[in-house]
Amino acid sequence: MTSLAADLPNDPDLVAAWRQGDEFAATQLVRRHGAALGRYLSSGGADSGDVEDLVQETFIRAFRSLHGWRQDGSFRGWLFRIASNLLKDGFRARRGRQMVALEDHDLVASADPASQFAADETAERIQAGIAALPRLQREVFLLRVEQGLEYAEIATALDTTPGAARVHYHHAVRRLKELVQ
Amino acid sequence: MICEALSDQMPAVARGDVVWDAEEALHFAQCAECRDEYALVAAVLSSARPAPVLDLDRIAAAVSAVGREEGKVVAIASRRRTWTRGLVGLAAAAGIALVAYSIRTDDPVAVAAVPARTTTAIPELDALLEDELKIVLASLTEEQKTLTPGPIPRLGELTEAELDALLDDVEG
Repeated sequence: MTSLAADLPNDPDLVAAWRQGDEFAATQLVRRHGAALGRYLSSGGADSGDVEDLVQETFIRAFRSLHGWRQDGSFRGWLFRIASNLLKDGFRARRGRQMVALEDHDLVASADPASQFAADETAERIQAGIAALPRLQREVFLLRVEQGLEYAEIATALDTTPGAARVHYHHAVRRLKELVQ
Repeated sequence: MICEALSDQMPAVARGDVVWDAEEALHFAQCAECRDEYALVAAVLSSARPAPVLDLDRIAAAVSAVGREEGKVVAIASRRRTWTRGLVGLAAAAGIALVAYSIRTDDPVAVAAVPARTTTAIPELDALLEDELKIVLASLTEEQKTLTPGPIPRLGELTEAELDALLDDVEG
């Protein structure tokens, strides 16, 4: 039995179709990557009210500059690169505000108040630790853990190399482990 | 080495997308470093902000609309540029032809005496026969005939040598 996923067109095919005027190809790309971009932008510190606009802006910028996408890198990585630049622009505009504090309703619900408290405390420490990481380490870590990007995709997203992304990730893990323990 | 292999898979395992194989599971059970890292990854995932609610269909429609709009603009602009460029080239060529033709028509005998084809300073005109030049001129409106071709100097601005060269071209 062939899986449904195997029948779906890949990103380069959809991009090629979009370039030839197929609007549905753009719709498919937005549906495929929009939610992940939203999570990334949200966890990267974008205001919740701005996330949808930022996702839209990411796709518009991507489609406007499709000629600049080298097909040796993944389209997803390239989208995250644009989103990352939007985040940076936003930080510059807001003069360095970087992370949004966790709110109560964001945390996983638990029936056990004691373990809930411990979870809250750990989560806060982790979020504070992530916020305190150098920008590249933070972005590599979040792209790897939260978005599940491969190092090659992260390299495309952050304009670095897969090897450097791996090093940044391990630096981040080491720092965060020290913080949590 | 196996620590690195496990590290690479930890986000996917923590999300439930994959599971450790027997060898990895054995290593994981014995390696405190790997367990610490996995605990961190799992904690980050469980404490991650929930995915924001997005109206992806609205985003897709907006993106498509922008693309459609800009696609049209680009197409019209590029067509206009091509058309304008052609007209400018034609006007420039016709302007020179007009000058050359007016010199010739002063002397009908001279026109008849011009050799069949000589190389001129205007390559576009070289390919045209006399009758074709007349058709080009006739196709121009009065307004276009009064256009002064930008890069082409007026006769009054030519030096004696340039005028001689032009005359040589025209008269053969």
